[in-house]
Amino acid sequence: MKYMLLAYSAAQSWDEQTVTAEEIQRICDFYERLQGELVASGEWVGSEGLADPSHTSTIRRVDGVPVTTDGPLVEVKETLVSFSIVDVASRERALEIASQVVAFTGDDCEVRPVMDMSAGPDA
Amino acid sequence: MRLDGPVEDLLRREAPQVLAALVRRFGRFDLAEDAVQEALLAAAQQWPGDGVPDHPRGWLIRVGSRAVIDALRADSARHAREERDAEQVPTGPAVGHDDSLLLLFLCCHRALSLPSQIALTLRAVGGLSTEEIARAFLVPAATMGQRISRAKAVVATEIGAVGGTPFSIPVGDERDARIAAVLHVLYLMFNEGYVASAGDELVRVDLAAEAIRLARMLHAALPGHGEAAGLLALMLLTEARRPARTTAQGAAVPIAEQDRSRWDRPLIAEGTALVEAAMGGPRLGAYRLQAAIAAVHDEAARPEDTDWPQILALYTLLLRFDDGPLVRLSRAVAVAMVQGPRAGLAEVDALAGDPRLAHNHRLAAVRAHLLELAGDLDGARAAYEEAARITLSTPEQRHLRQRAARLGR
Repeated sequence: MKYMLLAYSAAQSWDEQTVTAEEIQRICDFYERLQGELVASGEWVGSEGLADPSHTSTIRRVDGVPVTTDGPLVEVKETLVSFSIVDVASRERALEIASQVVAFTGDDCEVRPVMDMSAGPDA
Repeated sequence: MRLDGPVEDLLRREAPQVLAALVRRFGRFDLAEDAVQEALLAAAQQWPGDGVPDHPRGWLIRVGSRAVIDALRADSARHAREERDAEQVPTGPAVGHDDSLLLLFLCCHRALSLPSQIALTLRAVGGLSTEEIARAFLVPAATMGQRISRAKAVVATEIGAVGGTPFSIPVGDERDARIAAVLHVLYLMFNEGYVASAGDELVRVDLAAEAIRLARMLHAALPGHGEAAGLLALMLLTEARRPARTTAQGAAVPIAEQDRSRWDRPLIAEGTALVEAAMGGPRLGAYRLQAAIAAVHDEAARPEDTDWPQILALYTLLLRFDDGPLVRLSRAVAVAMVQGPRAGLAEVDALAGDPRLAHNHRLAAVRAHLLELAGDLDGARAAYEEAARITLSTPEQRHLRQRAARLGR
């Protein structure tokens, strides 16, 4: 069963650049280690870190037309910083992996099932 | 290397026998598995030119044995003993069915997670490549490779890696438990579903077909085992409906609306005969009962010919073996068909708080269906929409939204 783990950081700390370079490296090292463990355990499907929010563009439909603005969604309290997709035996295992992320990084993490293309048994 | 059909079939059938023989001889599941792959590769390269040997299994075991010895060369203390063993060329056929069974028991090991059991079974007994299994489950090949490697290592530890703990097919309660584990793995494999991706260069392996192949092998190895027969029958009777189960767009079609002219009648006949023969056997179980229910559905020429009272009786009996909420939900539909939709809805409502149904769309889907039958179209539409939100299956979601839309104002 595949789950996506979405890690969110408090936007304020990114804006105010209170996250130090050392902290960023520490977190990168953690993610690298975690990915290695998940590849070895046969649970890793994909993961990526996302760039600094200053690189973000947001597109919204305004009066029926897509309009692009620089920057993330306004008034967002949390910034999506990374996502992973894992293929695990149970929801509990997905939550366990996400808990490791939260414990180490202090980020909030959403865990959501990934939609499945198989049809399943007959109704 | 391309082989013609019969030779490729021969190799796939022989692979588990060869693997079991090497595991018996050397006790190293992991090395034996690699050695089988080498032997198959050698056969694929040499047999087209040299012809198929008179004793293909003996040939494969000899080549595989040499490959295991090569891998063991690092341990010189055992080297001499292993070489002496390998000089003994096997003469007659090994006890074929026992070997496959042993392998299935090994792969469906409780020390492994279910996804790992399925992957290892597909690899070691099914003979699929790691890449094929990875594509079937839509995970990267390296990930699946790791999953299988770890599974092999766990199994090797369980059976005693060094020196080859003598193992044999368990007896008594342990045997029953191991057979039940194998049945469960094959059932899950069958229900993984197969998605036809038109225009894909990489063809995804049909896991349902693979599960049926292994279930046939299991049934052949355990001819008196009622539940093994029941599982095979259930698979055949379900597979028979596949041509009618999805629209061209991949949407799911409920049984009541399927074009029955597309059902595979020979498979239905085979499955029905199998479950009828097995029903009289000892210790009735869930697979036979589910197969019996599928047989009753499949024997109806039109939906209105369905013998719902018999289906209801079978579900009521099934509750004695599996009284989980999903069985109760299916039974609720049968109750509705026999006693009216409101009676079915009462059964469904009794399940409303069951935590095992959290994150499961079926409660809402069945409620929607019964509300529709009861004439409460607004309630039905809301329930279909709720089910569509909850389901994790994209084709199912599409189907539920269509049903909701059909009830639109």
